[in-house]
Amino acid sequence: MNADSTIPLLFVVAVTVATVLLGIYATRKARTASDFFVAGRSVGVLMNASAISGEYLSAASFMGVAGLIMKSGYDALWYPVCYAAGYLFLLLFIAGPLRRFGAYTIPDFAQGRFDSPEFRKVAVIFVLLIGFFYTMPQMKGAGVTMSGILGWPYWVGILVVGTVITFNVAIGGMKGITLVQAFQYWAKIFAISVPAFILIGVYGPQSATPASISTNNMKGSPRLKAGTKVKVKGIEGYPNNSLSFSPGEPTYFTFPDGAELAKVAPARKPEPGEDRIGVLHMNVPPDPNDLQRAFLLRSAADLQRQLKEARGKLQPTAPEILDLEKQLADLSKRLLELPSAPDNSQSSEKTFLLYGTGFARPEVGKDGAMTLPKGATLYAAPVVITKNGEGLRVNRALVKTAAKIEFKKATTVVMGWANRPALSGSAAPNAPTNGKWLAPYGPAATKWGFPVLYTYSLIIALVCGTAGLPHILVRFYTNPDGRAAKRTTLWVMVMLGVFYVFTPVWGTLGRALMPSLYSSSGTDVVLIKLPTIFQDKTFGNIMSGITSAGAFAAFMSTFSGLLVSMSGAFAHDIYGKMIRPQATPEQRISAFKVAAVFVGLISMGLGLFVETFDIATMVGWAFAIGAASYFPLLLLGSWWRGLTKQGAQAGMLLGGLLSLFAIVSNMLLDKKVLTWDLPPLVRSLMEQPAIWGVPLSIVTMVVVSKMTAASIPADVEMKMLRLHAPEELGFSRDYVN
Amino acid sequence: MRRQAALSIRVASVFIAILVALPLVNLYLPDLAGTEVMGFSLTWLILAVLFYPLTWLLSSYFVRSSETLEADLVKVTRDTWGEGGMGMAVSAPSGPAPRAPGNMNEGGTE
Repeated sequence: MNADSTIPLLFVVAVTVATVLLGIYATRKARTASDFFVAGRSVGVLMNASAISGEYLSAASFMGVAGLIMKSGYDALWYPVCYAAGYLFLLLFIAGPLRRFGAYTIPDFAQGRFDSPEFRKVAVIFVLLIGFFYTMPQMKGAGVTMSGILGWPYWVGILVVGTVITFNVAIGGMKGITLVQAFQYWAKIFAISVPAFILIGVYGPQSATPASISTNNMKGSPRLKAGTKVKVKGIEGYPNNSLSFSPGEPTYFTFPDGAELAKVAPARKPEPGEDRIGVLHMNVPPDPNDLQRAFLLRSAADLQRQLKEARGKLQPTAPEILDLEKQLADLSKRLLELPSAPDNSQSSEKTFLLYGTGFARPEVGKDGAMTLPKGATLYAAPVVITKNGEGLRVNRALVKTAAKIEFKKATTVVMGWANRPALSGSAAPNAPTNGKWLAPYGPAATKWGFPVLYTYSLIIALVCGTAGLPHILVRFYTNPDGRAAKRTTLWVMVMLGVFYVFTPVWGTLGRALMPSLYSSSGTDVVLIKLPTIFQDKTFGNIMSGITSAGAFAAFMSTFSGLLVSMSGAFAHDIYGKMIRPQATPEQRISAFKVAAVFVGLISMGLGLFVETFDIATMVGWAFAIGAASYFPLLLLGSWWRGLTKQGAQAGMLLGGLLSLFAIVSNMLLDKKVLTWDLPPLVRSLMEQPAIWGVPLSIVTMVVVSKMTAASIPADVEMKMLRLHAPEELGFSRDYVN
Repeated sequence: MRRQAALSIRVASVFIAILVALPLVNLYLPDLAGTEVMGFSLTWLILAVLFYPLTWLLSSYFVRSSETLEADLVKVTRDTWGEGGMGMAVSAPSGPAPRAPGNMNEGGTE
């Protein structure tokens, strides 16, 4: 550990100690079983709203969303918006009825609504399924944050964070958590807002708006200074072990420690009929100015062609023509600035992706794999896509691509040409262009070629999934009545909105100020790393300490909530209802504590296996499964008299398990564990299954319920009254015995 | 319950209409979506900032209306059944169905 990590460590320790002390303080007051499970139902609206928000804002919200916005731009904005907007659905259809029904957990609701202990078991399965999926990204967040700020190995971070939280939950139960969660909301809102304001204050407001990035030009992208060092991952980090170079300009880069490349290919996937693009390996070092000149000359020729076409159609003062003329003038200026060089630019006439120098001709394997010696310098040239020798055009502009390198072993890349520091920097590899980043339907949504479908499916998963998260729903039982449940939801939406507004600010600041995170595939840690750019190192470390403490609060609070939910399912549903229905309250509390330790250990174990998965993707699993299982159950169960046990069960199992299967298969395909050859439409539907999973679940529930209408509970009217009548009318009762 | 449901559905339709419309505007009216407003493009501004206050407005409208509905219901029921509420009465399903507006047996077993 060095001085740089001491300050962030102090902040992290402070937030942890505060958490544990608050937990111990609150435990003194938790005595009865009711206190343990739902905090005695005496929590005030603002307190409960803070606690729900604190519990909900997980590692995904705190770190992942800002990182995803930095990485993908506009398309990622749907995440925070829908995370917050999901509460509107909760408010409109679920919050009030659920509280009034008077059950502690979703399994209670499932059993109580249909008088079926058997259905309870199905519901418990989903508490655990969704819960364990949701703990994995939290554990990963803990692991990468600790390794990011303190250099701890991944597993140590998981072990430390996991143990602290498990201990706290086991001694405090949920009463402790309510106070702690509320505290953690305020810690998180402080940690995401204050450093952002200071960054904006120091680096100017223009860095926080996306337009500051766009106004220069839509084809441009963030730049790295020559000499910037970027650490790249090896094959174990797949698919984050690659560098995609800018198709807008040539990029020079050096490997001071050498490199083992696993694959070199065009960044743009070749379509049928297009000419093959090769990898060139030179043993004669080309003059970089020479290559630069060849590139500029070709660009100039292309611009002249476009200008000629445009002049034939438009007025000479049309903005398009003025723009082309300006670009051409810029190019000529750059050409003139290049020092003169010998006339051997023949190398640039071929459509090759990568040129190398400073080493003998390497052995090149299939896919362009090769080993490069220390100090090797490469040059990634933009290449025009051709079809039968003719340049491919979209909207009259030539389509270009550049190399994408996948690394076999982790190494360091230094941007720029080692021998020629005068060369200005380069476009940051892996960063999308301003146009793609700012506009809807960018790289994230177009991955499989169905951007609109993808976007809608994402919206459905997140909006419906919020209403299907067991650890959030259980919180509504801590409201004194249904009215308070609704007011609490309203306040939760305000608190979440205020928090989420800062995520695009961080994404934009990251893009403007620290584009090297694109190249190292480290956008997930933008909140931790960005504050270290301040000139004053100590101040930077304090800022980074604040955001680190916020991140820590984020995975602690969500993991606590999940742990309570899952331990509650074990203690209350499995032990208290199935194994020993005659258990005393004391025995249930002991069972809860044992279950907490047990669930905590399993979560830590699972966390160790998911280092290579994306935080946001894993959260997506949990949301999509919740959207296709609990959401339809709660929606129809609260509002439709005709829902039968069989219908609800069939819909939950079919929708939930098929979504689960699709998501897991898609991840395994991404990781190349599975090698099925599937059409892109199917892959898109597998990656975002909500668009079919939710309707499938609802339709199954309706159809099966119609078929089994005879088994509608006889007292369904009474149940509807309990769900919907205001408390004053005296229908509500505590379901829990 | 029916009036509660109608209220929920009304608010939800406004919200769903906005959720459905924004991607369509982005798709078919890219120039409108890209209009520059205060340094942001319009669609950025909507999705990154304006969406949140919008959900607050919708939900506060819902909470207020819903509480009014419930207060009416409680008042009407008390007027009809007296202070004790009607929990006891309805537990016998054959009991007389109240006719007051907004009561929760609307659309039920009748």
